[in-house]
Amino acid sequence: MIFVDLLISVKRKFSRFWEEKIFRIAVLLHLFYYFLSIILFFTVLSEKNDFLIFYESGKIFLNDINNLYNQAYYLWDFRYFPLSALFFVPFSLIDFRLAFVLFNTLNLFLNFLIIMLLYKIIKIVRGKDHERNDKRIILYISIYLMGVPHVLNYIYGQINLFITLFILISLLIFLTYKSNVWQFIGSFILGISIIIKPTSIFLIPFLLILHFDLEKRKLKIDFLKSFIRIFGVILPVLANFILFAAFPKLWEDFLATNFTGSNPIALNFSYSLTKLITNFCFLYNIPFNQLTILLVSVGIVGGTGFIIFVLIRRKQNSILYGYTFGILIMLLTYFDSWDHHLLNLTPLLIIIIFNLPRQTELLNYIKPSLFFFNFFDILFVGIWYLTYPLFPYNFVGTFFLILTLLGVIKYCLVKKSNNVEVGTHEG
Amino acid sequence: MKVRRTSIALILIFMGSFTSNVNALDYSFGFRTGDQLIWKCNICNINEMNVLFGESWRDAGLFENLSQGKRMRWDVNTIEENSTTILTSFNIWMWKYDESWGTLDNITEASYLKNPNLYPPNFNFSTYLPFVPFWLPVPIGDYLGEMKLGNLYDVDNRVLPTLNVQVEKDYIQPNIPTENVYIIAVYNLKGILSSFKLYKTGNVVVIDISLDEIPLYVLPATISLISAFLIVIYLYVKRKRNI
Repeated sequence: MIFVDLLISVKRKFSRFWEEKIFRIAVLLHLFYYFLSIILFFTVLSEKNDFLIFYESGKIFLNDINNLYNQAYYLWDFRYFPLSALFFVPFSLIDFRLAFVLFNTLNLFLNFLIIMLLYKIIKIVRGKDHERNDKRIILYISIYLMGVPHVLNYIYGQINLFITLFILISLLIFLTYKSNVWQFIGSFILGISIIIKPTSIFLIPFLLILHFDLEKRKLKIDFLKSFIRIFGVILPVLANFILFAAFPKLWEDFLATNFTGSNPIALNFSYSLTKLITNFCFLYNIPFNQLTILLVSVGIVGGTGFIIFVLIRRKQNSILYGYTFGILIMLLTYFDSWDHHLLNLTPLLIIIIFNLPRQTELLNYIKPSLFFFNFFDILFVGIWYLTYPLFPYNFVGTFFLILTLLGVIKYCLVKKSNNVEVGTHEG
Repeated sequence: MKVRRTSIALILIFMGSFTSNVNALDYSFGFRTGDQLIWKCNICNINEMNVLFGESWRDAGLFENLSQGKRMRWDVNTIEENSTTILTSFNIWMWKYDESWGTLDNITEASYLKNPNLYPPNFNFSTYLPFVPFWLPVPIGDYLGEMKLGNLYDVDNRVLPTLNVQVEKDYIQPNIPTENVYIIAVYNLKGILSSFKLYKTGNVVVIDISLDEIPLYVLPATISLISAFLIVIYLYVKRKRNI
């Protein structure tokens, strides 16, 4: 009965969305992205996509798990946690081409769920001075659907949408429910996203309910809830260590592939701060250790983000800003931050736009970044190919990531005033 | 009725595509007869190479007399292809400081199989320096991807066609090399080696060779990118301050 009610409610909402011309255009454009990826797959890219790696990982997980990180079996390196391969086992049991189509159809369906979650979360956190009707929410949902990063996500057969979905579900839970059981469920769901792809691993510290009151100079921590959240998120991740313990070679190969292998050195168009530094070192023959650069970047960017988060001046929706910090830290510090990874960030930016006051200078940080990530970032990937022999830095994406980070930092530190009064929901 | 028949045809084509094979690529040359390829040596730490590979490493082969600041020239002499092989010959002027090349040092022929799958498993381009070829058939990313290369090599053709090579200590003979060395060879879209870097542990560059020509569009594209970025930021900030 609940399920039927839910379906009726979703259908009603979708009908309301469909009344807006921009939404109809967005859906058609999004379907075009989907079909384009299928056409390109069957014509030129059938053996050059990330899904091939996931598909192979599922097969190897079943038949020869010790060789899960033996890169000779893959077109490109398989780098994720071993349990992520388990997720792809069902796909690896069917024909590859059929599996790709099914997987991308699942991705399409996930986007449908994501926009529903976006709508639900925005309704919860929307600021008091925003329009009461849904027109503007539909506009931003349409902007998300029109996002160019979807093109590469579909073409590569990537798994970013699973991460986004789990992040949004856990965010919705934290914003809606306060009981300890729900704290555990919310963080456990986030933990599952880390198993699939560790993009959200830097969200973990932001689950801590830790606050330093600058006025009273007093540190407050909710030990029980923090423990439950950390336990919940770590639990699925720890399950990987059962595999690492059972197959020690997996652990060695996992570390080598992710942190010490040859891949981090290779020149590419990643917009992460770490990659800009390693590209600089590569170009000018400066000796470097990629792991040191990674750790220093995480220390500086992650440390700053976490300290600011602890000092945050308003408790309302702090989890939203914590999650955004986490994704920004990941995109700025991991070696390979590519256009399609932005699908983990743009929904959070859209929610923030609705959480911030309608007219606030903080939007000058968030809105241009959202539009850049959603429509223009891909352009600079193309430009990188024109400039890389002399200037191998895809720095514009980095600039907008830093701009967004500054916006979130400013939000956390600025004292309460009229133009930073936000939607209120504890979290 | 007509619509239904079209739909059925489309579905059949779609279903058929699950069973059809992807057409094999036709590999060929990325250069033409008469093309001139010049590489320059940006870094060559001879003392370090002597320690790693012994003092004879620059006595013969493509690294003969290699030193920092020298250049090597290849002129494409002939190109031929048949159903199974692509073959080319180059006039080669080995590493020199002089601007005037003088008489050529040798003529070398090189060939590749048109079907990269026909190379035996664990294929190595070379078991001695430079370990990687100076040219490959195009489209190079696909060609490298289809070859079943030995453990020495790791192909990364996601962004730039790249051969990562890890030569372990004692690989060539006992105590040669004296420690693990790493090579990153990047190729351009013409299949020509555009950057060769040989590292020792700690990512210390011992040899750096690059193609001595940057495509004409690179400099204007770089200047335009930086200028456009600065102008847009300036205009945006100015507009926001005026509001």
